[in-house]
Amino acid sequence: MINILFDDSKCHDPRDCRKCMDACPEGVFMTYPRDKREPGKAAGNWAIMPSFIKLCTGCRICEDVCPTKALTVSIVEESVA
Amino acid sequence: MCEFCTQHGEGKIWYLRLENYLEERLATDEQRQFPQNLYENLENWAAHSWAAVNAVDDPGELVKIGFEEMKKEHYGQILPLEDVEKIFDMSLNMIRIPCPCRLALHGVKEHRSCYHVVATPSNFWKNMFDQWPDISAELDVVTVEEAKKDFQKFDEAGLIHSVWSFGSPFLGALCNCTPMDCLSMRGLFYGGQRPFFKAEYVAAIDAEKCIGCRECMTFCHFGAITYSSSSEKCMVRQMTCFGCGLCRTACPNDAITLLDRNAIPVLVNEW
Ligand code: SF4
Ligand code: SF4
Ligand code: SF4
Repeated sequence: MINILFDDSKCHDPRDCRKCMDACPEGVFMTYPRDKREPGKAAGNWAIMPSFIKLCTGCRICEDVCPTKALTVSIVEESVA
Repeated sequence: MCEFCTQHGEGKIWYLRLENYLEERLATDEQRQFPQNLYENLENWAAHSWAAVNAVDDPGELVKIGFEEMKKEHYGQILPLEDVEKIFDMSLNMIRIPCPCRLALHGVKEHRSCYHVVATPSNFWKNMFDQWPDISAELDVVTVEEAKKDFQKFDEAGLIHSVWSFGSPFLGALCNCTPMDCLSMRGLFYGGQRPFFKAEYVAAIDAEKCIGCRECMTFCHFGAITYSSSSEKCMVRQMTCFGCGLCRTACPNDAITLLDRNAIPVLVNEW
């Protein structure tokens, strides 16, 4: 099973960086606002998550491109029962 | 005819019926609330929905069920440039906003390729978007001529055109996208699921005119075109073709035309 862990303190606004989103060949990442739009108020507090994780191949291209090392690809070996 | 043409088209292609662009089509409060609810939280909702789908063992099955549900509210169809232009000719108010899918999937804030149209004088869409400063700041009011020119450029850039309902059959948006850029087309990566119909058309290559350059293949997002080294020509796999018409735009020798899907026996039920 593949998991991608984010250290949010190192990734401020994914929209200003975009490196992992543009580099991932499988399109695994999405950015989203934690605060939704309201009348007179823009969507805000943008974060990132690996929404399409089932498509991840574990290639680690995203780790290489992330300038702040905010993400870690963790590959958990399935235990054979 | 696709299911929606039968239900909402009254003998016509559903998206070419003027009535489906009238604000009155949003008959119930629930329907009126749908676009509002969708856009105020779109990126957040989509990120969490796709994450939930990816948490189960068989995402394809869940995506299929979810897309079937979308028929009630937000469903689409692929269409070629000439049909987009027919819709623009019926529209009274037209705006362009940055594509919310590209924002959510690539963090791109200003890809202004999402058009909202309405055939009543009300300016329904602009009024809605104007309440949110982030969308309002990037919103343009466009004329029919401008919109047509923009779509020609999107076509030449190889972007697929599609039309979308907001509380079906009320139609309100025209998009320009690719599977990698579109929150709905991403379903194609999960066993070919999608919340939109194929176009009313299917592409065909005239073997007399084809020079085998393979330009058409570079424009097809669906892998519907194959090349034969025996004939040194390309051909369209009709069951795979979505009828977007982009290959026709790419062809330097005018070898490609769009045929009526409904006139081809096996494709009549292939939407
Ligand atoms: S490991 Fe590779 S496939 Fe997985 S998210 Fe990173 S770049 Fe994408
Ligand atoms: S073959 Fe042509 S019309 Fe059919 S899906 Fe591909 S690009 Fe579109
Ligand atoms: S682009 Fe036109 S001429 Fe070139 S291979 Fe395709 S159909 Fe043939």
